[in-house]
Amino acid sequence: MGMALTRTWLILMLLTLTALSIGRPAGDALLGAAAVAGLLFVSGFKAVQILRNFLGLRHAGTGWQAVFILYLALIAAAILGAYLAAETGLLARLR
Amino acid sequence: MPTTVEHSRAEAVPSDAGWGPLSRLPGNPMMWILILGELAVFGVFFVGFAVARALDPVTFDASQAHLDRTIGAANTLLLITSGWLAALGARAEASGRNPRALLAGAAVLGVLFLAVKAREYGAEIGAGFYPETNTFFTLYYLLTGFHALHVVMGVVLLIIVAWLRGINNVETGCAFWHMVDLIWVILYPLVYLIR
Repeated sequence: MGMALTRTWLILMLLTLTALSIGRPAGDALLGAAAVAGLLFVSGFKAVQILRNFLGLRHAGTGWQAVFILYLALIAAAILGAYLAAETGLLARLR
Repeated sequence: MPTTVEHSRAEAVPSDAGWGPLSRLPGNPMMWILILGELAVFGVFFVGFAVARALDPVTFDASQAHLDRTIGAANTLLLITSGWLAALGARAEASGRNPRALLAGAAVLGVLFLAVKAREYGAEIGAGFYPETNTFFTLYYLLTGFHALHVVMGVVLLIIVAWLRGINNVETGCAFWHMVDLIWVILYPLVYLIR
């Protein structure tokens, strides 16, 4: 059973380095919507791994897992939506 | 066979059976009410930060360039490793082994996270970036400071449950700790990377 936790830990470490790489730590140029979507997907996947495996929500039933996944999806959608609004200048036009 | 006094004492202790769906979650249901509340508060903060950036992307992106993205990632690795040790600790307690070394390891990494964060704050303040510098830094200090307070509470909880063992206590302390970990996993890309 400890092996499954260790596997999750290794996946999370690898995904953190993947997120850092997508976020191009050395540069200051805009990431673009595709990279931001990728970053949010990787981070959301990490969060689900923490919930299911570290927190043990795998054993709490599908209802609770759905609640937390919906929470993460709504936040990711709001962040991406705000990013797209800035990128297209939508909010600036509305102000 | 329990005496009448023991029996009435046992009846006086609330059972988890009345907590409905919350009783399916690991640890004390009261902790889950706190966790769900904290997730809602941080959710509002995250959306608020994203909208504030959308309203003034130039200031936000120029300010974010002064953060150390690699140090932020290193802190993510620290919290993830700490969460792994806490999960192993809860597993050890469930299988009747002593989880204290694992929980102490998780708490030490939590303290290390705080030390790295304090050093980061020092560098930023040294460079002249204060909470009142602009909206980005106001929200940056507010969000990361509020999270750091939760790390402090989580470390204290881990120490308490390592001392007062029992599967319910250990699962409750670890549930809070994983929530702290989960919030950072979303906070880091939002504040440090997205531009």
